[in-house]
Amino acid sequence: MKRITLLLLVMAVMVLSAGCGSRRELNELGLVIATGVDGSKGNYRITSQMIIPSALYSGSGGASGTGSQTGVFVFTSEGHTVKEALDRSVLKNSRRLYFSHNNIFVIGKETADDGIYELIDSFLRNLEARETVKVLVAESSAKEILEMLMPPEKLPGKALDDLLNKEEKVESVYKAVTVHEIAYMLSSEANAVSIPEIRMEGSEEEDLKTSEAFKRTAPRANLILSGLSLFRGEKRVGSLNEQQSLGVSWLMNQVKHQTLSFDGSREEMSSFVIDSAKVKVTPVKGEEGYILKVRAKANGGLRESNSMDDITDPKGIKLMETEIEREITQIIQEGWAGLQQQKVDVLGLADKIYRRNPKEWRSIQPQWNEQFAKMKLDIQVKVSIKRTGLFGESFRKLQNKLHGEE
Amino acid sequence: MLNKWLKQVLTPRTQAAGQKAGTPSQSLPVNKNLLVSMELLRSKLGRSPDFVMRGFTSSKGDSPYPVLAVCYVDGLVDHMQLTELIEAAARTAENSLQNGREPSGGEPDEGELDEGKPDGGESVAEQLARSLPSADLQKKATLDDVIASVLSGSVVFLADNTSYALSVSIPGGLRRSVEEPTSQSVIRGPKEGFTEELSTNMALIRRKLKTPDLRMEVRQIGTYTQTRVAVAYIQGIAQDSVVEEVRRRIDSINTDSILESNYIEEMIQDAPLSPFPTIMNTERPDAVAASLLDGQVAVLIDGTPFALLMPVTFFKFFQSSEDYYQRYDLATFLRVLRIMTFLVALLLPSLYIAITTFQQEILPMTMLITLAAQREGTPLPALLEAFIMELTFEVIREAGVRMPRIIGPAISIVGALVIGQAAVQAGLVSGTMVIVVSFTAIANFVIPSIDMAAAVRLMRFTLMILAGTLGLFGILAGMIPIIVHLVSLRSFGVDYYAPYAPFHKSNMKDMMIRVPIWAMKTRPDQIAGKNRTRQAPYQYPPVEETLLGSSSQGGQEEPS
Amino acid sequence: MSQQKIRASELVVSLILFEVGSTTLFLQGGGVKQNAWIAVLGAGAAGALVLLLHLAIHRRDPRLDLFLLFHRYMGPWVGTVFNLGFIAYFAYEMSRNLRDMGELTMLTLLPGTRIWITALITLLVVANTVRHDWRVSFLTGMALFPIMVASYLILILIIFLSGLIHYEFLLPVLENGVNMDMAKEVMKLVSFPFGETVVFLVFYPLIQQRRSVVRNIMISYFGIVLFLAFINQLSVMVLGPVLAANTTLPLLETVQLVQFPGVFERMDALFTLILFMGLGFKMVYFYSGAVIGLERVTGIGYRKWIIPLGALIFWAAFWSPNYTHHIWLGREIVLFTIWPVFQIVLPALLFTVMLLRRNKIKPH
Repeated sequence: MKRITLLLLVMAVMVLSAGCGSRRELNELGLVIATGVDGSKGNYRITSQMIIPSALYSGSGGASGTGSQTGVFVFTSEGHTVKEALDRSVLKNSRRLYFSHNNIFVIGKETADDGIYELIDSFLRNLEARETVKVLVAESSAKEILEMLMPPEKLPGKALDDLLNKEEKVESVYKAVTVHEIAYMLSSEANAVSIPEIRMEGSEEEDLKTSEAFKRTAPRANLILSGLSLFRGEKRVGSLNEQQSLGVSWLMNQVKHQTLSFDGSREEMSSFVIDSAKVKVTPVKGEEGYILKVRAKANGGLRESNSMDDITDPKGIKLMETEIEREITQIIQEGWAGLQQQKVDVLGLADKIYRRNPKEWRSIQPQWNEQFAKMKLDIQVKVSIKRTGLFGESFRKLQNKLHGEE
Repeated sequence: MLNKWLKQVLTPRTQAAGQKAGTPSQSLPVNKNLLVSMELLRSKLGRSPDFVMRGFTSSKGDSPYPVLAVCYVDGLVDHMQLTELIEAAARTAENSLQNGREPSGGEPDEGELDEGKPDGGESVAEQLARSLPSADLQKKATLDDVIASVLSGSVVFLADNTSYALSVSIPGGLRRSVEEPTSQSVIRGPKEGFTEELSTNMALIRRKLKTPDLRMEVRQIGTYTQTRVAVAYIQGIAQDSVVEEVRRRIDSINTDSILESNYIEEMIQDAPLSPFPTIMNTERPDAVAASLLDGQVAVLIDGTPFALLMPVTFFKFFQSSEDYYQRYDLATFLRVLRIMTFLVALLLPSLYIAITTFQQEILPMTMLITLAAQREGTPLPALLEAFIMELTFEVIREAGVRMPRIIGPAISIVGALVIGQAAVQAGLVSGTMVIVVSFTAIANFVIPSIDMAAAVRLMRFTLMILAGTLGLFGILAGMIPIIVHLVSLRSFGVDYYAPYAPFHKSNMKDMMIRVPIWAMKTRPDQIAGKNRTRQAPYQYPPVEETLLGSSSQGGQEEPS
Repeated sequence: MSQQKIRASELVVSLILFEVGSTTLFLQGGGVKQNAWIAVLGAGAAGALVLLLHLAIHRRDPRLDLFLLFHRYMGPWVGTVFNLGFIAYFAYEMSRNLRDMGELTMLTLLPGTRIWITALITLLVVANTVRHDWRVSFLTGMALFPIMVASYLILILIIFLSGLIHYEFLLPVLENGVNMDMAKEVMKLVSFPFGETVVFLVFYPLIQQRRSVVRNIMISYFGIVLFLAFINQLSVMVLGPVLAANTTLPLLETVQLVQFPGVFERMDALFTLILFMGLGFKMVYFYSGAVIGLERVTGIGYRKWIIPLGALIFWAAFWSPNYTHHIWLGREIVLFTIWPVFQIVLPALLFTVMLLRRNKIKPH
């Protein structure tokens, strides 16, 4: 009896202490909010941006820490594979890296050109890494980007995440893309994906890497979303500029909110804000090849006007709508041209054909690239200015009528 | 050896055959010689000063020896009634034709076996019996019975040449009056609570249930305490098997003292090793009355205001009598709240520990940063911290119960300050932990039944250990056996987790929610036997439509 | 040994919990990618026939459970052999589930803990449930049922609300028609999970009410099939057919993707708990089935068998040296060879014998 009790006791202690292997006290965690990768296959450099909690909140009381300490701490480590590089950070870092709250993943230019399949795999295979992480391609290196602060925010990784979110909602130029989306876009028939790019503009970027950044009212440099990287398969094959990216956004039906400046009949600028838009894109088989049928509908309101046309009259509105439609058509065409040039099917047209008619797809598949390059556009845009705001005719026009100005 | 001892302790008892605890009894009969009896009584009671005995002599004869004696324990009897009875006794003794005798050796004389009736006519005892102004007159044949009666607050009359004594029960003395119950008070509802006097308590129940079907059976248990215990039920509603079971279990108790209802509760409960209570207790007569109407059986114990109720289900512990005295929507909300709080009290510290130690990904980032910042300075791992905080809280609570009322508030303020504020500021514990522990403690008090709250307190610690070592998996591994245990418990034949498992649709209307009174047609299935119907169906309040539209007629019919 | 009866509703609830149990863990019918739902429905139909077979067996002789039936109709010797086979089958199923549970914990909740510890604790919790008489297992199912239902509903709700669903992933439907791949998937699915209902032949005799039992069971069964097809397909609709088929735990992955910023993130830890409960139920019923069988065969009370059988199961759970082997063994080998024998062949045999010998042996 005594022996059994002893055995049970020993077992109980063993069982209970065994969970200690998975324990992670909060103060031994290094919360990573942004990661980046540079280098090429077999030689990766991983940069991690870690939060320093005490810089943000003191232990009791909760007031923000003073500006003397930056809210994040960035370091880089190397290895043959992504995971190895991460684990080797232990040689430099006292905390255990914790990726569950990682929101941003930056791919350096070199890696983007080299190929990203391995990165995708490491995300999918590991439990801690989420596939909801948003991805960006750096114009220079991920390390550079991640070392920069984004004043007045204390946490640049989070600021980037917020930036992407807001941008999607307010300007919709660049569609934010997550690792999950990359994975399924690449594993579909289209085998192509577009990822927003980020770069630094301005000068004196070293400022941004220290808490000096918070001391100036207007920092001399900042991070900015600058374009769209196009990937065919695992490699980056080109980029689009802002205008083209907007066009691609339209084609992908990602425009939720956009401010469009257009010029009227006498080249006076006005501004139109789209608050809802719907675009249907269908590849249609014609005799000589495919035609991309694009049907777009947008509603919005007039926000700023220099127009000399009569806005209070429906005919005047109709004129403006035509102008806007012209503008949008042009944007879409530019975007499409950019895509066609690179022969990258980020719109997933291949999948659309496949889903509609698998047999048709099978027969066309070998020549898809040429077909894609040859595709013509058939665009129809319908814009409706629902509201013109709180003012009637444009101020310029009023002035013109009153004082005869031009 | 340990094995053997365990086996012995855990074997359920059977009916105690013969061997009673305490001193063996000697049933001496009442001696015919009065003075001998009196002397025997005095010595048996150790010449206690509060045992009063007085003899009355007859005026007819000239013997100085008493022909009648009265004895009682001062303090246990009601003095007003006592005076009346003694007057009657004195008169009887005076008018008696019997003569007192001197104390002889013990055995009665041969010639006076005829109960000392002088020349026909009645003996003193018979005369006394006729003249005593009391309806509750009993004959006691042995000295032990006499002593038992006297100790229970009766006054006993002994007569010379009589082999029995007459006992009148007049319990009195200073007792607590009927007041508001201290532990289970309500805002709206009757404010009577039980007292320590069994007859008062029985009366309180009788006042609420004026039906002849209300049965009360009294027994005396406990060799030294001879506590009177009453089993109450409503014949026709309570199941006979349950009542029989209650009787059986109580009768098989073999102990020397029953001081409080908990003594009996622990002796008769199902699953004595389970932390969950299977018998409910209450201080309120209205709660008892309501339970009896549901088919439950109540046990009242002399000497304590807490009555026992059985059989019970798990969910009954979350009900309060107040639920029926307030509106049903509020009552439903409060009941659901209580169950939620129960879960909080049980699981909150464990969840906190598990999530912050193992599964940090569940927390949103801002919260995580705050928590991490707080934990930067604290020295202890979360589990130890939680343990120390919980134990400290238990200490404060216990101290709060014991301390005199005068310094009570001061100490509690000090306690809150010391533990809460200062510890956090000193960096010994993290602020969140204090909040978690305090909220858990408050949540614990929401549970209406103290026994259930106690069960929660104990299980919380186990779950905390499991959470601290194995995270959420540990919590699950702890909760499942608890649920299995709950489901397997039975209370006097009723499934503990009814009406959820097994599922009784008709019972659901009074468990988590409280359906309006007019919708409560039937009694709970498992507890009430066959008599299910509580009230006639379709009892929705009859709203007279004509009353609302009376303006058209009111003009002509002016009240004069 | 208890003669307690259970109610039909309790059995039905247990059936639901058992079937849903660990099925939602993996992607069923992944071989046909986006047509998985068709595979599930097809297998459900086939499984319905199997279930009807079991119920027919029960109806013919309602008071005997599986082991007694074999003993009675096949004769004591042959019957015992088959019974031992069933015991081994149940025990092995349970050990597979135990291993699944351990692996799942390792993968999701406690990556640093040794697997034998989580498996041991799981075994203890399950054994504790079996230790009480089986009425308690069914009642526990009733008690936990609302939690499971609520959790799944919430899960479905948040997946829909998060906008992760791409309906186009359902297309194209039946690209290659109903071919060998589809047939293979359907067959796999019949064995797991639909054929596993054979274990309930041990419990049918415990039901109190006789009359509408079959109808209720079949109705709930169809509900289960629809639900499983739906949940299964959710993973495909969120992850995409290719990814879903290649992911180890697709529903978990799907839940991980759900993000309501600032409020819920990473709900997968909580979802794993639901899976645990489901797995737990399967284990309880298989374990019960095995110990009851041992009691019937040997006459020794089933409670005494819990520990020895538990130790055996524990050992068996670790037969596969690694996860890949474990999965391969389960989904490729046993699924086609052993499972159908016990789920379909032997019951069919029993039924035939029952019919043939009905003149000689009257039902109990």
